[in-house]
This record gives sequence, structure tokens and C-alpha cells, in this order.
Amino acid sequence: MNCKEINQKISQFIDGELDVCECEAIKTHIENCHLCKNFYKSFTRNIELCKELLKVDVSAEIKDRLRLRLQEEYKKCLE
Amino acid sequence: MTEASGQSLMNDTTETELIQKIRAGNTSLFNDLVTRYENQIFQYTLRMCGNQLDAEDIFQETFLNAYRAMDTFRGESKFSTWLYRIANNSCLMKRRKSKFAPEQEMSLDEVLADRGLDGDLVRNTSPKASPVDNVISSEFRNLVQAALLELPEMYRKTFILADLQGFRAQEIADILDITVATVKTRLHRARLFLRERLGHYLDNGLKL
Repeated sequence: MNCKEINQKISQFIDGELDVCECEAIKTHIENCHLCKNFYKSFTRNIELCKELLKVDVSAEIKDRLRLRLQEEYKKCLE
Repeated sequence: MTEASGQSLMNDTTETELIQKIRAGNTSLFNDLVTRYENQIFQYTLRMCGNQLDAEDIFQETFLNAYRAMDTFRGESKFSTWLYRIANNSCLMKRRKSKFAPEQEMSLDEVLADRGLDGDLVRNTSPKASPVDNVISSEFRNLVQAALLELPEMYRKTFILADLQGFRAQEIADILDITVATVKTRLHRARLFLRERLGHYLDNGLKL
């Protein structure tokens, strides 16, 4: 396993899609390669931060406006 | 178990019953379906287009179109898959009418070579964080959203569905009508792109 392969397989590694042998090879390389260790850390941290920072809940106003439009649509169907 | 598919599985029986009742004429029960999916669909539309106004339009169109087409839902796919396909079509229709994304998509390589960070910003602060934390996270959130908008749409969709919403590769393939291998390739390239765009801030402890 070399650095280029780590770059290519990092997503499969964190998504649990590689077999045991490949996982072990990646773990060993990361433990012994400073650059890949940093790359792995920032790659996974970046995904977690995106997940955390891009969370959003619909506001009550937006929910109300949708229900109002749906209410009009329900009435149209009954006419 | 993913968040999105977990919720869907947990509610499968009642959701099927709910859909049967709606199709039998109990139309106002559609609100119950809306309640189950509105946060997910709004997050998807907001992160796809990057501004609240367009996102709300797409969000409304998604549920209105779903309601109008309920008779065509045969249960051959999961309801969530069907609903997200409608959301995707609504995004496409909106894009044709407005400017939230370029009609002609650039390749990921062109984007990497060509653009800096800017874009339509979305604010979303946490009430539990301190004012300083809020400013920092709000600024970083803007950077993340801007970087997300730089991704060509096909990569952006995949990243949002996989990493923000927790869908599995097979579910994303069903929603976007592409192969699982394509999902995985796009997801990997999207993650690499975002890490390259945002890695500098991570490496410097989010100092802005």
C-alpha cells in the first residue's frame, strides 16, 4: 500500500467497504506515514464538520406556509 | 443503520397504511407524511441551492407535486426514494427558471482550477453556543456552504444524500438513477474536493 492508494481508497476504508487485508494494510500505512495520517484525520474530520455545520431544521414559518399551500391543494381536489 | 433509512424502516408499516388511506381519499393525512420528511427535504433543497428563498420554493413544489402524484406511487420503490426523485426534479425545474446553479456544469477539475470561495451564504447559529462560538461557526458554515455550491450538481447531490443525510449507496443509486459504483466514485471525489477546499481551515484550527 502506498500514499497514492491511500488517497484512492480512503472513502472505501471509512465506509467499511474494504476486506480485512486491505483495511489492515491501510491502517499500517497510516500509522507509519505522517502525511497519510494527517490526510486521514483531516479527511474524516472534514466530513464530520460538514455534517454538523450543515444541519438545518425547517422554521415554523416555512412549515406553516407549506401547510397553507397544501390546504389549498386539498380543497381543489374536493371541488 | 443510517439515520434516513433507519427512520424509514421504523415507520414502514404505518407509512404504508398512511399512503393507502391518503390514496383512498383521506387527503389531509398527507400532512403526516410531510411531518416525517420535511426536515430532510428542506435540508436537501437548501444545501442544493444555497439560499432560503429558492430552497423554500423547491421544498413546497416537492410536496405539492408529491401530493398531486400520489395516485402514481405504486410502492415499487420506498416512498422516500420516490419523494427524493420528485425533489430532484423540482430542483432541476427551479434551476431552469433561476440562477442558483449554472445550466452548463463545469467538471470537477475545471472547478478546482478556476474558482475561489464565495457564494450565497446561509446563516444558522446555535442558541446554546456563545456569541463568539456562533460567529466562528457561522463564518465556517458559510465557507462550507460556499464550497459545497462549488461542487458540480451531480457531486453535490451525492455528498448531501450520503454524508449529510445518511443514505446508503444503493438508496442514492435508486434516487439518482445511477449505478452504485458511480455513487461511490462521485462521493469520493466530492469528499476530496471539500477536504481540499476546507482543509486549510481545519489544519489551522478554524482560525478565520
